Amino acid sequence: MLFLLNNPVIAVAFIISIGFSIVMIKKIVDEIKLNKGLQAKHLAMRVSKVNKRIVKRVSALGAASLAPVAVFAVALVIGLNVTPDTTNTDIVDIQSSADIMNIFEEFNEKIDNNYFGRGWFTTDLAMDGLEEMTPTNDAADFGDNLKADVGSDDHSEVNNQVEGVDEMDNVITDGLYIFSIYGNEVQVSKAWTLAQGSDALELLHTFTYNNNYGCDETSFYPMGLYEDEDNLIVVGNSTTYLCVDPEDVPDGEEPMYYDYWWGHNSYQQETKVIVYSKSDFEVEDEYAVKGNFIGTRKIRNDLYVVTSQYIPYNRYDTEAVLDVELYLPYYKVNDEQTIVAYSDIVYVDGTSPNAFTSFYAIDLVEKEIDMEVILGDSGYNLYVSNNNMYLVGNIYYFWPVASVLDVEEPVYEQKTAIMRVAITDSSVEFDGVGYVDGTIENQFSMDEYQGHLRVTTTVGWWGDVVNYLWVLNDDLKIVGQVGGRDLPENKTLGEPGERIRSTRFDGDYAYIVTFLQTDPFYVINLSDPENPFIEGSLKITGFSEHLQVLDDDHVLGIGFEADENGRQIGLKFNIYDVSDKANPVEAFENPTVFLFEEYGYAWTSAIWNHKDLLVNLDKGILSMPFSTHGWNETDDYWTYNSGILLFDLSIEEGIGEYDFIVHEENARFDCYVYKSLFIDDQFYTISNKYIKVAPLDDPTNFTNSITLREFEYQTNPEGDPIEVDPDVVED
Amino acid sequence: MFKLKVDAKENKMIKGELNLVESTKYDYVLTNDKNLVEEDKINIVFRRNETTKIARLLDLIVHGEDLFVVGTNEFGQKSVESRNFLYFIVEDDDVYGALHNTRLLVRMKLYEIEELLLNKDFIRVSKYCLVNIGKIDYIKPAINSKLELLMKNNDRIEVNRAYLKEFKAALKI
Repeated sequence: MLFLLNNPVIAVAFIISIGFSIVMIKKIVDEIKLNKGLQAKHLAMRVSKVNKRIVKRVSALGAASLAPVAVFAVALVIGLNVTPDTTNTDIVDIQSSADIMNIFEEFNEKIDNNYFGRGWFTTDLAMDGLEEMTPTNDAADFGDNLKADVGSDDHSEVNNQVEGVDEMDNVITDGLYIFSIYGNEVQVSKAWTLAQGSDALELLHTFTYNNNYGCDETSFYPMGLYEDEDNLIVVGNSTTYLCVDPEDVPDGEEPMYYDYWWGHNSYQQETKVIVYSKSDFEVEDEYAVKGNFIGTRKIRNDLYVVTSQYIPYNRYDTEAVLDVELYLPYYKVNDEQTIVAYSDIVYVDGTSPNAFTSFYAIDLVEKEIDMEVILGDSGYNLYVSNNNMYLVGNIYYFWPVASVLDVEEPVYEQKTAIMRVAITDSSVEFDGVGYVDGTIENQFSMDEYQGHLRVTTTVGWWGDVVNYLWVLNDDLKIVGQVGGRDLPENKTLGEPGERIRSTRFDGDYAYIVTFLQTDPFYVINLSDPENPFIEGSLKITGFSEHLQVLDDDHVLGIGFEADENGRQIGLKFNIYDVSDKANPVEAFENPTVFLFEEYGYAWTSAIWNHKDLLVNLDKGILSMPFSTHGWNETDDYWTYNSGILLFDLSIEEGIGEYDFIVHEENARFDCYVYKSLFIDDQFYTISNKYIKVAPLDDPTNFTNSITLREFEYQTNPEGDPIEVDPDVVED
Repeated sequence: MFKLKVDAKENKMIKGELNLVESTKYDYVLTNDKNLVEEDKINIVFRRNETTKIARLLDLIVHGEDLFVVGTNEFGQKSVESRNFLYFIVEDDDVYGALHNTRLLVRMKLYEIEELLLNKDFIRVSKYCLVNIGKIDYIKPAINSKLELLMKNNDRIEVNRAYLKEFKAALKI
């Protein structure tokens, strides 16, 4: 009944079919009466052969009259238990822009979804004569600073999810330099040398990129950094703003540029990769790929980038004609452009064709790019193994009967689609789609292991919440699962109403935390992919938002402490002992908790950004950004304490004593310390203002410090100081 | 038309042998017991072994005298007993009498045939057609309140709405 209420068109059709059946039944009754009368008349007339066909005829009529109702009943049952036909991934052939428009029209007719109404499109924008403007990369002048410096091999690495698959970060080190991003700047600081140790700390250069927006401006915002033996690699978003045709600007007025607008064709977006040589920090290569940045990884010498280019089909200017060509993905290697061929675009039937989602493999050695373009809804979570990229998005599975009936608003079901793109030898190739119910929390919700993809999802938001762990085989078909509806308690993931808050896969095991009021921590045995099962669980207060595997027997949890009502009352760090998989326990009696009532509201970005977390058992350290607010009673103002929490960490002792490393105590304004790393035995902390260094065994006693940028302060009309964003730091 | 008055044990069997349909209003009483005769009716008293003869007598009573209609086809003039016609129909101002495998051109107006066959269970179903009720194989109600008659030769005749009431009355519906 709920299904019918949610789908009024189907409900009306259902009522019509019942009406049809009623009319038919009346017709049958009339027909029986007439022919019975005829039979009686024939008998009275002494007609020798009296017709007997009435029984057969009435049976046929009865079946016909009930058929629509029966079909609806069957279809309803199927509809309520509908699952996408995962045995048949329909790849639609594309040969021209007309094919793309047809796909869009067909999809839009089916779904009638406002999702497409994200913006407007007009041809009035002055596309002609627009020159691509390279970001302003100031020529680096390093003088003699680069001569013969030797760094350390003993330095921290980015906290990658998958071994061998590098993730970009906003601060990285190679043991010699620290490369850091802040705003539109990338800074190169010498951090440690064999000759001088941390005394060598020195800001060498600031790359400042154009962050102006306006007519024909191209801005560049660095988003992440990679480094390898020879290169610093900066990945960022490049935006070129488009202006109205100058001829359309009235005399005396400034030419107008279109401001940012969602789905607005006021700018061209590229994801840019700038490769600097470490020998002189000159630009060695520049790669650009069309579209908004979604994600990136680096495996050995290959850089993988995923972008999304929205296609603004809907437009309010009815005279404008959408030119798909303008949105076709392309790549540039040092300004040499290659546009995707229509025949190379893949469309998976059912996905929203509102964007080009492009996968690029950049071979940094051969200076070549391979691309795979999917016409489809861009994904919201990227997981990359050593062999495949998995992008998670939505797919609409249309209810088949609704399609047959050609109703105006067909019934569809939204599923999570996991697109797989195989990566082999610097090339990318679309390799299928898998479907699961529910939504995925983050990249850690996925893991590829021995030919199987394991995925955790949650269906529903409030009350009726169901959690799953799916195991998909090499064909992306579901072969095993844990969790689901109406299962015994020992088969269910989470107490009633609980959602999955964190997942971590580790070989044959998965660790999952669900939460509503308490923290069931589950140990899932995945050694038989087709028969995964909950091997053990632990119920404690609070919950972990991020799980970090320390070794085979220990998992670090970072999250929140909660009271008996599920209310978050503090930050919590604990270690789960999973040596006995059937009986996981908290390894240490007293987890580390920073209660809000004692510390003020405390927060760490490591909860949502695993790359802000530094864990090293060899050094015995656990560190992360940490901030609290305080109150200056003397002068009556809020204070802000941002720093790095550095714990002693060992398997034997657990999370031990901590130091809190701040760059400005009780800062009147935000001095945000956002990253920590180590080189050799020195601990570096990086804020928007400074890099400071101290020995690991005495981390608050700075031995060196450099200023990355100065902030200016002005006074507002009330006389209070106002912090002003730093102007572009000139070299 | 008929009322059978026999021993209850034999009633069903004798009715079958006589191919008899009883009615509440009747003119004839059939009985094998002379004490059961009804004075205001026509009484037929028969012996148990005379049912075959009585059945033929009943045919005569029901069907009445044979009534022949003359018509022509490609083989010349034919005289056909009226009961054998399925229907009479007007086409291009000519009246045809439809038989199982042929049709005869009848030199009469349709209303003249109707009057002639007044007591022969023919019924007018439209301005152009007179149907033999005994030759209707099946009646199908159509969506538009009309009736479709499937005749014994598989011809289909439509009962016009204007004649529907009369048609149903003829079937006592």
